[in-house]
Amino acid sequence: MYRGEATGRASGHTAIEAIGLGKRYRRRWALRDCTFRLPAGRICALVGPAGAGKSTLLALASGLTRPTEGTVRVCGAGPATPDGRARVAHVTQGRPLYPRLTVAETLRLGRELNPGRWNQRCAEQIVYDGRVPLDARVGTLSGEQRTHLALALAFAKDPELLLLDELPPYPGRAGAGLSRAAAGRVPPSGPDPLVRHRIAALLLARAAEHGTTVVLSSHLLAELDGVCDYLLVLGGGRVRLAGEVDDVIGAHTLVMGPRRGDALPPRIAAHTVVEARMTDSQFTAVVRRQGTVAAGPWEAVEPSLEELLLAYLRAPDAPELIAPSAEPVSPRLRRRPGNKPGIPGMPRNGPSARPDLPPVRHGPPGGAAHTEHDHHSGKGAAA
Amino acid sequence: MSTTAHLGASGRGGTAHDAGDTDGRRAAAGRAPLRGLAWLVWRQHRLVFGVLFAATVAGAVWCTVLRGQMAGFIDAHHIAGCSEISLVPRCEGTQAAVTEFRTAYRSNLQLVEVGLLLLPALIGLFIGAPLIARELEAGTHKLILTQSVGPLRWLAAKIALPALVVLAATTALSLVFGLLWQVGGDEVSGSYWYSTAGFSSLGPVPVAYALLGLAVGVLAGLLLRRTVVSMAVTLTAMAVVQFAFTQLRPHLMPVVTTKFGRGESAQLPDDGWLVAQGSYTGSGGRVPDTACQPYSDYEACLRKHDVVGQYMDQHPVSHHWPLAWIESGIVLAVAGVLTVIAFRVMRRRHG
Repeated sequence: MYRGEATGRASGHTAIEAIGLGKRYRRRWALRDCTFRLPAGRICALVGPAGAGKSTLLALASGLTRPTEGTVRVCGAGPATPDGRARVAHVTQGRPLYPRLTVAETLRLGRELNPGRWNQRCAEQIVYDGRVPLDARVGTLSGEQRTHLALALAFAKDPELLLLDELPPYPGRAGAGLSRAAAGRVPPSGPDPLVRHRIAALLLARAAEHGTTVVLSSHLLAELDGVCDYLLVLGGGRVRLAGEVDDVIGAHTLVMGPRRGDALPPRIAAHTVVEARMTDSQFTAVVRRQGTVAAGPWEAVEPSLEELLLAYLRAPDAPELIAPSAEPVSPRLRRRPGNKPGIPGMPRNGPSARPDLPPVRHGPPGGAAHTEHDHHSGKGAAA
Repeated sequence: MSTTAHLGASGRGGTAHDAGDTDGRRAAAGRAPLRGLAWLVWRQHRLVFGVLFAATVAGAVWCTVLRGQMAGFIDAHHIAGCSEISLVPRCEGTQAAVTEFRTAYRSNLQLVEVGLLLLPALIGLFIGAPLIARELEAGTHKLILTQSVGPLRWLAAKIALPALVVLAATTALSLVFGLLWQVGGDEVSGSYWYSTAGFSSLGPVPVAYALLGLAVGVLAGLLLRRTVVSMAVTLTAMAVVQFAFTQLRPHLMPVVTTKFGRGESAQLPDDGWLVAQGSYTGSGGRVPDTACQPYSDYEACLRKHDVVGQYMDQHPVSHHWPLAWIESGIVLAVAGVLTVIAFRVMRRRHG
């Protein structure tokens, strides 16, 4: 059952590759011209405001819906092929389960519908760890228990790619069926941070054990730091940011200093300004560096993941940033005239050759390596 | 799922494994013969299948009891094949007995007929429409479509298993009703084979309509994605189709025309289905009966139209089974087309 190194991390394998991917529902484009590559073995955060197309992208990658235009491949297979279906697990929004089936029957559903791939021991372990009674009806489970059951179904399938829509479990009882709008209004403090941490820990442990690539969509930005090593930000139905978390953070600088006049200092504005905010006496700007940030009466530090994401979410018109590792390997089928390949300040090919960019890391996933990371180290910031 | 898995598990984890594996072994040991998707579809819809099974058994028992009672009455009064006004010599003097028979049993017989007439719509309403619509409404189709089985195999199982159950139930009911009909149908009860309810409950017709109801319900659910809306649409569609076929039915086969010369008494057998009648002319043309009114100069009018006799278009009783099979064939073909459309919709939507 174990795939070993063939598709493990540090390999050149691709978990998801989307080229010009688009999906239209009636008249509205939920996703448009979406092009990126997710290398295998990463824990990828899929971030974006409500309606950015996160769920649509996951549904396209798992073959739940078919693209209106463009292509997407998962683990080298089409998502809507038997091969693709077998390799991808998708825990959809709201955790749909049959309320009248018992937990044991739901696991049997997984066994019957994934012949040859099902790992009953793995499923029962996850269900047991989540304190989900096997003989309970699914309709009587709590939100956390439902998520455990859904994850048990997903992991026992032994997927190469796990897509998880909305990381935090919904508050309230099962079957309450929170609407999208209501789910979007869950306060940042969330239903129960302990529950979220337990789920995240389970996810990371299982993913590390099996070498599973994980994509999790979330609107709780603070939760993602230390969990994810890859980033995919959607906005307005397009890819805004894609790449290794460290690469993406390393390409940006958070500059804070005293305010003089209405505009940013020219030497700051010379970089690509993602977002600038002014208070009475201070300016705060997140910039994508063009060269190094000149010294001046300001402090330049590396932004945290949350700061960076918030900057991009607050500035929907900021230019997009696709890191080299997120560039599709397959030739693009279609390129729009204004869509320049690569981005200034980032190398086109291979890992970073620039001294001020951190090298591409190929460490194991999971919290341990990442939580130690200090994003405010000032690494490569004010030279 | 190997039992050696316990070795690696902690003591507490082992308990859970034991429970699950026991369950797994029980299932594998043949307690449940169904596997894969068939098991799932059976597990999901076993309640409604159970209701259908119970209704079938109840209907069969009721028909058998009714048949016994009718046969006893008919034998006791020697009224087999006699209608209330009969020209058959051996039926002379049985009119009172036939009337008594009809008073006692006709409503019961019609109850069964109407039940079989409505059964296809009910099957479409309560089995076909919710089959897919409820999944789409609750989002549970995503649970299935993210497993390893594809959408087309899922739809196939979702349609095939209920179709088999419906086929078995309606075939059984149709057969039992056929036996009841042999005893109490046609002349003696006055419910002839060509009556709307009678034709729809005999032979292959109710089976074909039941499968059509299922197909209509499944397609409506797939397209509309709402259970209640698809139930309403299924009911409407089945009512329209069944009404349309009552209008179309006489034209499914060429009628037999019987001509009676002037002065002959125009009389068909009781079990013939009179479709049209009127007068015909010397040149072979047809004149509707309304052309000449009896209270004016009737004879002059007939002469003016060159009427030489009466004709009657009818389907004799020998047309019953050909008509039933033709109609069933068309209905089944429609059901098949709808099912193909459902598969195409599924393939377009989910690949």
